[in-house]
Amino acid sequence: MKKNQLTLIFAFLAIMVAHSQALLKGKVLDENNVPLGGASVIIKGTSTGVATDFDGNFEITLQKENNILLVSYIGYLTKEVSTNSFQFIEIQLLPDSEKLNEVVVTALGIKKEKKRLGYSVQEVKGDITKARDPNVMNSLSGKVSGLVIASSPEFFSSPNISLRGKKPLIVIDGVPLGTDTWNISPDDIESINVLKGANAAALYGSVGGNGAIQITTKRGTKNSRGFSIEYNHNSMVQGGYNAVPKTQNSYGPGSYGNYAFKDGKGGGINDADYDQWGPKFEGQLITQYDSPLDANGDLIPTPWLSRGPNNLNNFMETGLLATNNLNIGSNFDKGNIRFSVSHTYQKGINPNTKLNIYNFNLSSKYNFSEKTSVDASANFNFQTSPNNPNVNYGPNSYIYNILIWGGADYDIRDLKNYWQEGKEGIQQKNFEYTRYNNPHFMAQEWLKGYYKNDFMGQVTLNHKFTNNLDASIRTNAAIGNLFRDEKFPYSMTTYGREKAQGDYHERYDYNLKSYTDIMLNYNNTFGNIGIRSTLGTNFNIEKYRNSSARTNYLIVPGLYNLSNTQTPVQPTSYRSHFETYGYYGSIDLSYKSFLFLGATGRFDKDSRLPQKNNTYFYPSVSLSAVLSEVLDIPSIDFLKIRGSYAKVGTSLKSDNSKGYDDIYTNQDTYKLRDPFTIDGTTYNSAYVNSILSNQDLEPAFNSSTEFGLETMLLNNRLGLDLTYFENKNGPQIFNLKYSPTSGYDGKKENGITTKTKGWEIALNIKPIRTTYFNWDIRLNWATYKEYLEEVYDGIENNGRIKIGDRVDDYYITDFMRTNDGRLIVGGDGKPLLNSYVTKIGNKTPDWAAGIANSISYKNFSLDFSLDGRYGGKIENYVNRKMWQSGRHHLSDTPERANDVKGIKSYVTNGVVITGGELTTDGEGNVISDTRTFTENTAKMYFQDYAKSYHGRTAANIIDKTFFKLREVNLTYNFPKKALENTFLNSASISLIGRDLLYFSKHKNIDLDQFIDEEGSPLQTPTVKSYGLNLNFKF
Amino acid sequence: MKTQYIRRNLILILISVLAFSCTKFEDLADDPNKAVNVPPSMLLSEILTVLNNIGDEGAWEESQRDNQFWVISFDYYGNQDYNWGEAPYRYNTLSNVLAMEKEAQNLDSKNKYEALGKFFKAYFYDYMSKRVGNVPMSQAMQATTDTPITAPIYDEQEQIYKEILNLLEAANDQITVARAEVGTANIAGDFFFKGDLDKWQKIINAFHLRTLISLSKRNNDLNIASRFNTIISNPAKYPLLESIEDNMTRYFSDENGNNYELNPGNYGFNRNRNIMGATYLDLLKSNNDPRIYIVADPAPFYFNENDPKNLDAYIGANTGDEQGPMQVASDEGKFSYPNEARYYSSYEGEPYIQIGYAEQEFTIAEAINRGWVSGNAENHYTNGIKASMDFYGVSEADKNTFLTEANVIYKGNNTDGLSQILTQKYIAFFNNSGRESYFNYRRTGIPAFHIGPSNKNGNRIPLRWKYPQSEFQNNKENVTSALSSQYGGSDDINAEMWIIK
Repeated sequence: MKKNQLTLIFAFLAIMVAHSQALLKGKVLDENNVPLGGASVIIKGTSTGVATDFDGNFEITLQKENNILLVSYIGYLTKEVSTNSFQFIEIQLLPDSEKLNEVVVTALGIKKEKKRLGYSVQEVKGDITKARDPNVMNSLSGKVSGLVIASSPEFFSSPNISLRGKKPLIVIDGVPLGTDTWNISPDDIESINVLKGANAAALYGSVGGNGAIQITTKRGTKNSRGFSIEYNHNSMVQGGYNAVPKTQNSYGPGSYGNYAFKDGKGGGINDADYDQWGPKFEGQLITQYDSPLDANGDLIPTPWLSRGPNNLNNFMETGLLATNNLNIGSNFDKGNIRFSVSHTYQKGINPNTKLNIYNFNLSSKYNFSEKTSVDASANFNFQTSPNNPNVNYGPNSYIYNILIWGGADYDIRDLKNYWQEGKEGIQQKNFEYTRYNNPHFMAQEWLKGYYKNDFMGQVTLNHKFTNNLDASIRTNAAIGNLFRDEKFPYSMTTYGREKAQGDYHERYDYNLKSYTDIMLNYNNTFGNIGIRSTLGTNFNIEKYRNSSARTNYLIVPGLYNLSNTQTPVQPTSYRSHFETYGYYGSIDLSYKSFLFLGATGRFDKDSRLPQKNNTYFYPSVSLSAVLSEVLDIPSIDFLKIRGSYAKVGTSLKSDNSKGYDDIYTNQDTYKLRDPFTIDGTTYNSAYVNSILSNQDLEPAFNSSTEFGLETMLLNNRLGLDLTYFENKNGPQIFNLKYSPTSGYDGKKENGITTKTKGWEIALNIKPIRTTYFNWDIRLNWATYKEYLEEVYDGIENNGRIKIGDRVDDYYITDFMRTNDGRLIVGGDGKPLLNSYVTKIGNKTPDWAAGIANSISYKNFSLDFSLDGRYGGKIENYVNRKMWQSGRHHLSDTPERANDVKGIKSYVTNGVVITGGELTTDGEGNVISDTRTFTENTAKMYFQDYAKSYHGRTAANIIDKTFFKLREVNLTYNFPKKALENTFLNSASISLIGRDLLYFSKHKNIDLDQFIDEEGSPLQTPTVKSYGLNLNFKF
Repeated sequence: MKTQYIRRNLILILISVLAFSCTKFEDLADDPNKAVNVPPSMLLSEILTVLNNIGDEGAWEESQRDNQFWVISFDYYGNQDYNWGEAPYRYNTLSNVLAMEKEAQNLDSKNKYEALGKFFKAYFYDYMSKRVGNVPMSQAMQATTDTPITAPIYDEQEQIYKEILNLLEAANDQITVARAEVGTANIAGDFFFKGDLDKWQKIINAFHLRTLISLSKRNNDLNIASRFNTIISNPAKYPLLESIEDNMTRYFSDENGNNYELNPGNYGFNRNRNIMGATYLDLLKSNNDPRIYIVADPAPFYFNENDPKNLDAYIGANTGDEQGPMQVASDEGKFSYPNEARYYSSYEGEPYIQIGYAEQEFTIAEAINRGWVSGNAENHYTNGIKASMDFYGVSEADKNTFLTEANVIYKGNNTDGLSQILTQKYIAFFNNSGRESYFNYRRTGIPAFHIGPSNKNGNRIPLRWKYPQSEFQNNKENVTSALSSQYGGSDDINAEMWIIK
């Protein structure tokens, strides 16, 4: 750093000194004669150098007459220029076609030139540390075609990641140990590459069958001072809802306009477990939860008013996300070293929630000699949150308690002191005492702790035997410990805990993964033919254990200890252990820089498969041709076509229905139920596993065929990467369904093949490229559909899905309608439902797209990106529940005003059956329909209509279409000049924003969280984040 | 030198890897979490839980609404629209029965498990067949044989009932053997009788009678009368229930997983929504039945403190009425709710009778009334009434008063007498014995069930349930042919099956 700085100072001094004999002036231009600002001009053999200014001009002081200048600029060939005079010179740089061949990290961490690859790999462009999300995966949203990140607004909920419709492997530094996606700091990430199909990830073995997201971590670097120190600070405020349900605030709790509080336990009129179909807020006198008592101890009615229309806003808080990272790196002839410490603090928008993530990362490389080196890294990650609320539908959810079933009849600010006087620690104060909880009480007393320690370590030994032959041994271990607890206070209720006498729950999870590779690499060139080859073997060990215990109500209130239980409850535990051994080889052949052929093969041995079939082989092959090397097509700078085929074997699917991966699914064992006690005797039930095992089971296979075209046009102003793929998923290992009348629901078999077909486009446009002003646009678009292709010998369907159907066909129980689509209603005016399910569409979105812009002007740069998805059906559950409860903002209708007066006035637009019969076969196909209809005239309560129409699934199927303004990042890089006399080497300040705008027809649900789901849980309202990022390099 | 150094490193690394793995590769496939063998008692507990089926058919559950014992006014928690869907199959439970027999093979007392196994098979085939019609039996339960059958054919209901009756005969024989073998030694895992084989044998025969009476319309095809007579006339071979002490009963308590359906913890959820059914309550009212004061509270709106026993304050809700106006009336206090002291004040509630003495006595009375067997129908009729009243703790005086009510005095072995028997049987079934009261209604039309605007089955009480949809996906040919041979190809819930034709 110092050297550069001195050089700069010297250069500036030199400018100030009038024409000197030793001063050379010049200008650097690109191939179009546009000045190149920031190009580097160095005197060869010295450390003297300058950078060009914004007009491409430079001045350099020469020590002697005959110098050679090295002129370089990113993406351009470095040019050597001899100077034999001090005359002004113009230097033109030409684009480096070699630089188009960016080097990417492929499977197992092997670096390859991108142009050699016969399969689709896309690097994540753009800064992930500025407009950041506490979960780094969320920063990938929209940045890679075919990759969908469905981010969850909840703490420690990992985003749902889908690559071409399947869950990809996450790889860190070439090792597929996985990550919970929270235990890696974005500041430690050098690059992220996405290997999109089995073709790219085949060498990872069975786990790579769905492609991989590869994260490469940073290694030590230095500047001229010999080391570098970097500090990054990021703070964001989180607030302003993108998606939150709207409410009506004209009617309060009750039913058909009737409500009177007595004890909140059913003693009054609809004063317990109520809906929001109660009386209109008109100031009339009604007994309420906080009504005063008269002399007899009876409640005195008080005016019925909308006291809490803003209860949610008055309850929720502004979130804060602050991240600090400090890293120190160095690079010396014997190797490099880097230490990084990150701290992430988030204060949630739910009161009394926070999380802290501490991450320590140390990596180092030491060269024993030119031939031998060792590289090691260690990462320690500690995640902690004393309260991490549960947002599932139920009395545990704030949305449930405040927006859906809680009303505007109370002001939430009046409930801040949540204990009843004289009953502190025992009884909450609330607006109801049966189903619902005081949100403040929940926030402060129902605490769900989350504490996780993750350790990861890696050591690699490399040795070069000759220039052509090298070997490496790499071993990795990751250990995770997770402790979760839940404190459930006296008087809190939730489903199944209606006795409301408190509970305590503890759960420990432990996992260990170990992954070791031994690799031998041989590379050589024989004339025009190049060979790169690898032979390797791999040992993978994974162990998991958990134990979980809970109380059955507490004896002593407030003592959260497992022994404080009214009656004993059996704890549960689970453990698993499996190993896989892999043996693999890969070879890449190249002919000139034109034609590339790659092939891989791998044997796996997997302890989870039946012994006789637990070893299996699978190959991959790919071919690519850089046509632009042999054809000279005008305005095409680069043109490559590629094609590949890969097959990957995989093991048994684990069953994760219990919250952990049960790997032992192919066994004839008994399962146990939760015990129950009658008259002092405890009964433990066991039952037969209804799926028969199969010791002849073979591994499952996925195969993938992919064709692509990559091109750069118009002087690299336009880049296009187009891919078509067909993934054959299968034959899988599946539960072949038997008629349950056979005694079993089915048997593990090999069968079911589905085919996913899709297109992916990545477009890179550089519309403006001048000295001061540059604009890059990156566009990603992808679509896929998955079809059922085969099931099993003689079987043409898998459940309702038949061969040839899309596997994501969405069936629901629809309203019964006439042939011309009119609702058929019953004698009470309520719509009738079909007796059979019908298909209403598909669950998977039609396409996903993202667009990212990078604009730079002098020292300013602006990045912003937009992404989203189009199509695909889902049930808007919160909307349905809002209608059922009577809190939906559209439920404030004129007919509703009649309901509360006891007048039925709503007439459903539909018909009633007057005679005849609809006869269907067993699957609902119409045999005959002789029904006759007449217009419905039955008057009903609007409440009954709202619940029986809007309160049904069939009225709440929506498209998943949405777009988000995902990231905005305006950065100012301080000019070197300004930092000259400071200790800083570089500094930048950024204004940042995330999720600033949400475009969707449905603003009561954030559709970002869903990919191919058919149902939507409740969610914490999603918010916008905006703030500041500071980056300093010392 | 260098190479040595590398080798040393390599060895170190390998050692550190292998240190993680110390189990033999071949042994890793075994599941350390689940059992390959379990004692038969654990399977028995499972089977009995399914048989008991408290969650669907216990007191104050949906089935008891279909029986018209109670009515729900809150549409969010349910309705009584009779738009029935598919029936549950019990073949998975039959797999557990076979597993119980297998696990008992090596025990000295296998006969008692096998005898119960036969009873369970009879119980569950009856359970399924009376709901849908034909079901697989001759080819069922053969997924694990040498030539597995994964899509069994459907057997005619007549064949199924013949086999059920054989199973019940055999169960009685084998439990006699078991009793001789091991005395009345306990079977573990039995929460009904704590393993008392004497009581089990009585239940097997009481169930045998229940099955026979359910086939009353098929007397000629299956020799029902003579089979009935065989059992009645040989109490030594076919012991029957002698009092409510012999009832097959599930008791509830404030224990883990054993709470009564209504209790202090859910009073707020249910109180103004669970309303006494008029079909049932009106029957009690019409005969000044003292049970009304025990099971129901008077409607507050009509209640007069000075005349607390006035039956005019006992108002049930009609099953077929619209729920909205019903809820409004409930909020105005115009309906009778389940008796708060009996049903909401504790976690014990009342015991649930799976198969009871009262039912058995009404069944025998009916058989005598029909002339199948000789005997005094009135005695059995009166036994049934008294047994039910004992269950509710009705005083002797009240019992005797009741028995003198004009419409209660037995009217003889004629249709009026039969109607009395069936009506009292219905009343005794209140919130008990699953859907038996519906099945008796379906067979006899007694008592009249209420139908109204909330009925979503074309103003009819259905006669059956649909076949499970999974059968159309996994056994289509056979289930389709079962539909065409029985119901003209339609899975119609209003079609008549063989046993009630």
